[in-house]
Amino acid sequence: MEIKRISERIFKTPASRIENHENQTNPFGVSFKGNMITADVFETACPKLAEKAANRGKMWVSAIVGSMNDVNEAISKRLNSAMAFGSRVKENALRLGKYLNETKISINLGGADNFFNLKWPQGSHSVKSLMKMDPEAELEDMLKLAIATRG
Amino acid sequence: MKDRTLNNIIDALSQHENSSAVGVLERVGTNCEDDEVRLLTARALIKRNTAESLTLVIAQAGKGINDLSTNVAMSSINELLGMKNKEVALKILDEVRENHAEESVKETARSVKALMAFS
Repeated sequence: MEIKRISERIFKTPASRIENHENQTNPFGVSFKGNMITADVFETACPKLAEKAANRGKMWVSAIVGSMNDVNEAISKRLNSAMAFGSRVKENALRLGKYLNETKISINLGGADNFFNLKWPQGSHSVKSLMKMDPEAELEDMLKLAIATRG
Repeated sequence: MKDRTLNNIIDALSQHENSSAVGVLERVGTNCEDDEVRLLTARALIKRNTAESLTLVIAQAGKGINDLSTNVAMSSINELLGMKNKEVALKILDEVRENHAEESVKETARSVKALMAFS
């Protein structure tokens, strides 16, 4: 007796309907209307629609990734320009500090000295002549100016 | 401005007949930020040798012998020790030593009095 006949008798399935597919991927032997179902034979009913959906999805993803890249680039540009600005400010500050340290500043008080001599001529600066002046009316101002302009 | 003029002005105030000269020296000279000016002023006040001028350099905290600058204080003490007529100065030192409110001013007056006794 053939094996096929045996299985026919057991499962009551006509042998002719059992189609052996090579390389089938159906280990559990699931069948539909007598045909063994394999994973290899599944096909989409609307291939064009699926393709469209897939393409649209791809478009969305590429748009998002593209925009993310643009945002990253924009942020990097701004950060770089801010860093460059900060570096310039720091350099300017250092340059100014160096200039101030190296520059000598001198104030010419020749003007104040001349004013003193104009108001109180050189001849009136002796102790005797000064003692003739009023302390509060004249000598106080002279003393203040003399202190302010002493070298 | 030469310092000679400054010296002359302070000397003139020290010898001036008008007693208001002491007020000028106190207002402008003893309150000056410059140590040299305070030193010249303290010397001028001691040279004037009056009760009013000596009280300024002996009894006032931060002026004359009590100046915060050691240089000014020592210069004032030297000027006191070099005086010919010391009666007024000694009297004021005694008053300060006995009656002054601040302990540091009392102590300085006590030390200067002791030095003047040996000079």
